[in-house]
Amino acid sequence: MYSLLSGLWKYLFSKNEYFILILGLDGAGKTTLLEQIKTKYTKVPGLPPHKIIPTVGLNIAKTQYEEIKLTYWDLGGQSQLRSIWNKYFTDVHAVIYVVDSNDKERFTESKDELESIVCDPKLKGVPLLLFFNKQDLPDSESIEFLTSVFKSVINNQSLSSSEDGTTISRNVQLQSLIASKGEGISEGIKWLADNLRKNARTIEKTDY
Amino acid sequence: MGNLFSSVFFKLFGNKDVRILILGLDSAGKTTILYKLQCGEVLTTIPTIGFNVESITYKNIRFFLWDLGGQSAIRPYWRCYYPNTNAIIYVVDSSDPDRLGIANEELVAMLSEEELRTTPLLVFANKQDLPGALTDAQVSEGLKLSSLKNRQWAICKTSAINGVGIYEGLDWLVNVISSGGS
Repeated sequence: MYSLLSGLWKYLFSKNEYFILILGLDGAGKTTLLEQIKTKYTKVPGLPPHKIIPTVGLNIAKTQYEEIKLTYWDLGGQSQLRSIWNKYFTDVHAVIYVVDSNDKERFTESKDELESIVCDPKLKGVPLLLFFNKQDLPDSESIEFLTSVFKSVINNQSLSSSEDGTTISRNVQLQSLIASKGEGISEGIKWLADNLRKNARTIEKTDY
Repeated sequence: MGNLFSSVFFKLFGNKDVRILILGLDSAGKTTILYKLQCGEVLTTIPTIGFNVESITYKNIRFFLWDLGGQSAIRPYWRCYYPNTNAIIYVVDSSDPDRLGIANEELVAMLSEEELRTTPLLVFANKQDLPGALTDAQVSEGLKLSSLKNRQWAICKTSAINGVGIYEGLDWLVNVISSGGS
């Protein structure tokens, strides 16, 4: 009887939990974003930006956004750590990709990484939120310019057909961000939450 | 009431106490790391049978470090120490690729314990001073760290002899603990 009830309880309420992967090159501001998300949406304030050290591994934030639970996974972005990104692909409902708008030399590298993410069949149809971070720095490129740089990845991707012949469609949102001050986060997360509520893929839960 | 005051007082002035387990196979360098942290020197250690415990204060956090013996015969006793653990430091001998598989098995067995379900994990890829030591990427591959989804983890290249990387790892622990732990 208990297990029946608890099963029903889980059936009713566990649907509202979503997992979000935060990716991007090293130094893009992924962990800063994660800590600001903690500050905004949890009772425990996140770390201030100057205390954040480069991530080697996984940082987690569990938040409550209105009626849904959002769990963020922030992975290290250094080139030798990127090989583990795809191990998490099957377990997420959405991807946030962070770009350093000030790091002009590495736009191509960042674009290539994003391309390999969006082309991965394991992430087929998963919504993508693209954050253009560090918009407060004087030399940062404008959103218009960055959109033109990254648009090709997103457009190509939605046109290219997958192995089984169907076209992949995914919702993509571009959003300016100043992670250190928390500006732009609520707009981005709101878009993500709306998307997840409407249409999120189901994931077989694996418990480690 | 006294409880309330003491907890307020503690929040304001007290150092935070955390309990850390240092685990790993035998001769990974657990005891050397412990005493490097405690007194800043490399001591000649003998294989630990039982445990060593030391407290160190770092960045306003008082760490109680429990270094448990790693020989196969005494690994079953690790579980006696699991309750109320705030974080695990898992030490791996990077110059011993043959036993990486066993290190992985022990890690998986340990992490599947209910008491450690969301405990943060810090891996020290130790003995980086030795030639032919595996890189942190290779060690994390060998330990299958990327299959961890419900806990925070990090890996550091360390050399207990030279003291390299240990404090970087502790900084990460401080970060994790001060931002609410698991």
